Amino acid sequence: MAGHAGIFTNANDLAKYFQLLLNGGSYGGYKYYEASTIKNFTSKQFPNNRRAIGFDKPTPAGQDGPTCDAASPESFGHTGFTGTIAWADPKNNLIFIFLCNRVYPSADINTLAKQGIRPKIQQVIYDAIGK
Amino acid sequence: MKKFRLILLTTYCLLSAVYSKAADPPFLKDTSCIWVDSILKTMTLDEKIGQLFMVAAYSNKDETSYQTIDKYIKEYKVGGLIFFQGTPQKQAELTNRYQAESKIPLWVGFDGEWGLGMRLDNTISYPRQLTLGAINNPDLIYDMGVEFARQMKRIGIHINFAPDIDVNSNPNNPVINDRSFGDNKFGVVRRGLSYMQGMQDNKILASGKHFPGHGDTDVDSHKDLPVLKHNLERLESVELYPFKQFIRYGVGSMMVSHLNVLALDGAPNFPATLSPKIVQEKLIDSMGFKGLVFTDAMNMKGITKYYPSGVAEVMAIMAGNDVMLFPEDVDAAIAGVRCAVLQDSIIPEELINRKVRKILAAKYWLGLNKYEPIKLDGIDADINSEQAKFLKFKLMENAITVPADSAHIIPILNLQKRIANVSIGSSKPTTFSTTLDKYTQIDHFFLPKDVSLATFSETLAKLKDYHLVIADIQDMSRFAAKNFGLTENSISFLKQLNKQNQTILTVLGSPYCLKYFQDFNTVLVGYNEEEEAESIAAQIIFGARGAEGTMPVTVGKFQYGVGECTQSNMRLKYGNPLEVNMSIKTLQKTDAIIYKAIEDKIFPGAQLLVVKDGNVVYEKAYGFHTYDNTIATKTTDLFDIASLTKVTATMPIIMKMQEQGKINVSHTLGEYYTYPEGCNKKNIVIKEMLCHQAGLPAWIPFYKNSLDATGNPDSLWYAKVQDAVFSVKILDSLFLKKSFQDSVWKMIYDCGLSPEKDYKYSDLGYYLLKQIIEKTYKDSLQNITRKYLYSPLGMNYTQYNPKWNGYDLNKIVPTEMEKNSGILCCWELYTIREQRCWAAWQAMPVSLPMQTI
Repeated sequence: MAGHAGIFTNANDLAKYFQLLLNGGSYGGYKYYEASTIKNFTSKQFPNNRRAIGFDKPTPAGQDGPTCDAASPESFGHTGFTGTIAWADPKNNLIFIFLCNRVYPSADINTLAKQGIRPKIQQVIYDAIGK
Repeated sequence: MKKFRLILLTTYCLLSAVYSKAADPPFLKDTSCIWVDSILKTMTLDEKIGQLFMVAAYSNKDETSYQTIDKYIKEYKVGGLIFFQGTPQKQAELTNRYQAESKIPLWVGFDGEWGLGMRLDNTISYPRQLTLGAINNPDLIYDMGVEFARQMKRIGIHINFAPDIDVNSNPNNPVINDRSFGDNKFGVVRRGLSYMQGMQDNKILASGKHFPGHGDTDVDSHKDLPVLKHNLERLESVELYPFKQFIRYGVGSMMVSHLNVLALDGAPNFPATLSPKIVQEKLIDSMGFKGLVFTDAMNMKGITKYYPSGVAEVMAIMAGNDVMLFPEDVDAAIAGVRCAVLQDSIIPEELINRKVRKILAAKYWLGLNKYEPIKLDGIDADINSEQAKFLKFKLMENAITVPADSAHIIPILNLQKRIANVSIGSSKPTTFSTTLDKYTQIDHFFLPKDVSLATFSETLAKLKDYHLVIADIQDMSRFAAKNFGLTENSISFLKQLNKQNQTILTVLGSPYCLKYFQDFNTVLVGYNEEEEAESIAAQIIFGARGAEGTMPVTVGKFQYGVGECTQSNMRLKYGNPLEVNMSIKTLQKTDAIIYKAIEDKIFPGAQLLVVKDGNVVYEKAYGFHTYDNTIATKTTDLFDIASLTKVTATMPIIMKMQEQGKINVSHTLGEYYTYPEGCNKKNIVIKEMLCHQAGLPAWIPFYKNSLDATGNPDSLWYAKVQDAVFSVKILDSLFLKKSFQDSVWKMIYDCGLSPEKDYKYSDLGYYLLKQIIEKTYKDSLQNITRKYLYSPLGMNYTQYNPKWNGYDLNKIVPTEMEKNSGILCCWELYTIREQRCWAAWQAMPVSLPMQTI
């Protein structure tokens, strides 16, 4: 059991946890965190480093990064080597979860990242808002 | 949070008045318009008689039957058609054909009480009126009327013989039943007016039916003539009330039914349809109806049993009807009327003229003075639009009712209870059961109707230990005569269950069945088994949505107008993108990207999920587990989420520790853990480490030290059989020496730190944090996350090492193929290295699990 990798789950389960984060710490009638804690941990901490505390953040528009350009600066999440991403955007009240097994049968070539498939899918989802 | 809602009858009266303005039938002003005058002037008697008929037409029959309609139009000059079964496309084609044959444009009627789906294939069936009777938002029912008008006009329909405004005061009514808005006259009027106005505001003629009120009959007028024995006072107060209101608010037409109403016309075996006392004197003279009067279908046994075609139609005209629907024998009917005018002078031509003038005025109002053929392209897409489907969803959502929840079980709060779902009438998972599964771990018991008494008893025994049982009833009948599809055994089982367990009863069918379940304290009525209803019912039980509906009828202790407002927005909804103003078409473009990637072998399988405003509006699984396409990926399958673990397992605990003051991420690791003398890790500021700028190397190839010179597992460190020394399971037949972990920790403690503290993604910090977490809570990270986060949130799929937990391998999407002693075992689960480490990893001949370290 490790802290950096090793969890198996599905998109629906992850959605509950990310909704808890978007809700400011509450879900299912229970309060798990103060909203300020989540805000603090999911905010950028240092100049020249896009990361929040444990959570990843978008890069400035136009730069390669984990998200599409439409993801707000408030948004946060993480990617995984197997081809996964979960991203929550408080500004748009939006959660995007994409899981795949790009490392099957081998992880040699990361076309998923090279072609920016996850950000492409995410962009389509932002495009669907308000239409 | 909960409030009980009993809507007072007087409120209904007030509301219906607020929403409506007194009015005449909409076409009345057109009775003397130039178009009507000019047409009427040129018409022969036969043409006029033809206008008084609407003949039955179908779009699923053969050419011969279509030619019969051709004949009625060409020879008898019939004025209209009433379409029954078929398809919208064929009906539109036939309508164009028939219209082209008719000198005066035809008008087309349709029985669409719950929309086109009542008769036509490939169309939407909206909820039946009894379900609408639970809805307390009249605007929504108005919107439905608007949508019906849109769909009907698209395929050339002009009249919808709806709404049914019978007050269903007899729960055993075999024919009206769920076609009525319910057993409360105010409720019937309030909803009926919204429905009627939605259509008539959009140029579809509505028809109030079945005059003078079919709600308290126990005979089906399709089969025989029902007799209504109520006195006049009662008729005035109940049956006639909705018709009076419909007249007041301008309904365009009424349909008279084949009922023997003794208080209005005492003649035996005499249907209202043929009674001058009922149609002319009551409806027209006394109640003041100025619109069109249609007969119910003249081929029904309620008429034909006593009066043959040709006689019945003459009597119907004399009784005051304007248009006769569906004569059983068109030739005889037309001949009979013709004879009555020309030879017997029973019907004065002036009477015919008055009726035709009214019919032409209605045709003018319907736009038939500027008739255009129906555009045949794109009919299916137009009538089954996303908005049209979404409206059905909204109606269902507003209808579903919790008539009782005295123990306040809904919504379920504590997901750590043992919860079972027992489904009566189903042998396999339903939308209801799979939606329940989205919220938490639920054990399912399926009891099809024909299971033995022994199976019922065994199931009851098995359910004993559950904290809560969600019972649902599937595959129900609409009819009281069929006990709503319930067997005696299933009723008795449910009653015993209710005594034994805390039970939520979910009725996916008629609310009338609650007569069997008077002792239940928590009940949810879903009204039908449509996917939307089943999904929403489950969402209400878990507090994603609140119950909005109220009982449309009184069934024993479950009173009309009662419904609990249960809590909403507590958990994720599963809904329609249109609910959150997102485009379904745009969302569907994600499919193309994903399928293309699968085709390009970028990955074999995937899951996508989109939540907007707490509503899961897109959830799909794609492709297969592997490229040999044997196991299709499901939305419930487990994926190895790799570094998402950092924010899903470690970070939630660190955030909690920060809140509890057990850690301060602005401080150093050394404050929370004792490291070996001289270890440089103690000075790392936790926040810097979590932002990947603590100077840690990207990773350390721990396993290198466990391999022999040939690159295979070194027997110094590995054994094929597990024992006390070689205790750490790597693969099914590969076990690592426990003490190897010490050497791993030594490597971590000893590794150098870059003095620049520049941004460098590293896994190592998470090893160090896990140590602190487990020391603080004196438990494993796995147990802590399960106990405090995953389990209470209902994240029951989320776990480390599902395979070793006995999880079904067919439900885990595989990652890399793994070489082990020449054996390919693709299922083995080993840790995830970040992309940047890949080159180093590739150089190694054998891949080993790292997560076990």
